[in-house]
Amino acid sequence: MTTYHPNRTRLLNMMTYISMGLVFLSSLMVFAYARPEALQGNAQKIFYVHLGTFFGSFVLFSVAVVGGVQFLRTRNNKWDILGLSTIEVGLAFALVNIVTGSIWARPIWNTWWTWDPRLLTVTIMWLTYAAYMMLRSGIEDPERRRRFAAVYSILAFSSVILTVVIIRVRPDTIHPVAGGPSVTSPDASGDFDMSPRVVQTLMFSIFTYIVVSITVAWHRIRLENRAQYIQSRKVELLLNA
Amino acid sequence: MLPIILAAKYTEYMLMGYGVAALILGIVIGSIWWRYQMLQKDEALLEQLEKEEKP
Repeated sequence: MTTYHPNRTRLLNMMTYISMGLVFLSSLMVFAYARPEALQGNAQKIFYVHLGTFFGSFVLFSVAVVGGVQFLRTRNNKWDILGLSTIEVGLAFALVNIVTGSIWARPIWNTWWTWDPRLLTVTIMWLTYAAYMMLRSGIEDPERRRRFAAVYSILAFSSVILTVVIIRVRPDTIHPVAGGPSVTSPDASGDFDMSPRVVQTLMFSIFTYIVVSITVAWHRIRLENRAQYIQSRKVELLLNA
Repeated sequence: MLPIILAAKYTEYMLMGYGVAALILGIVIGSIWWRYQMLQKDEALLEQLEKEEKP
């Protein structure tokens, strides 16, 4: 049986309940506290989940880089499991980010999709990580698979950096920049040009989705540990038969 | 506050956005839960087979 220190299980359970509470509070803030924006109306409220899930996936893809580096250093299987789990959950968060962005764009840009530099790079990022899932399942030798996955997860992070940077360096993007300087507004100091309620709700949503993404990834890690343990027991049983 | 929100335009897009987000994250969490249940069944079967193996 895969055993965990009881304190870790307690912490995971606590994080699960905290995540549920945060989602409830965040929904309250989005739907009842933050006022609709004057021009965009309620479509602007998509922004909270759109940005929050991007930060969630960003954190998970960053953790996957740590997993990749640590695996190459130590060859310990737990780092490979960390990489796999964070990328799988990160992909789902990135998908929410892309789909909600498309739904927001329909009333605001009058189109579901356009090949804007940011939309292009985020699509490349998502496909890069989707390819990670497909390619790693195509390699049968476990040691080769883990090595390949570790190197791939480190290199794939360049697509995340490109996605973050693109709206600040390309003048032809129509994607909004939430804060910080960009080519179209070089003097921006990083402040948000929004009402205090919107800023508070946005910050709380980002925090919520980061906590939720980590909690879901942690559950995914536990699932993978259990799956590998049961697989090894199956092999053992077959060899002894 | 609620009347202000409901009176604002593009409410259907807001609901669609949050609905899709809940659906995708629900599928991910549901799939983790479902795979965990399947593993528990596998484990129970393994234990039964191991008991049968032992005299």
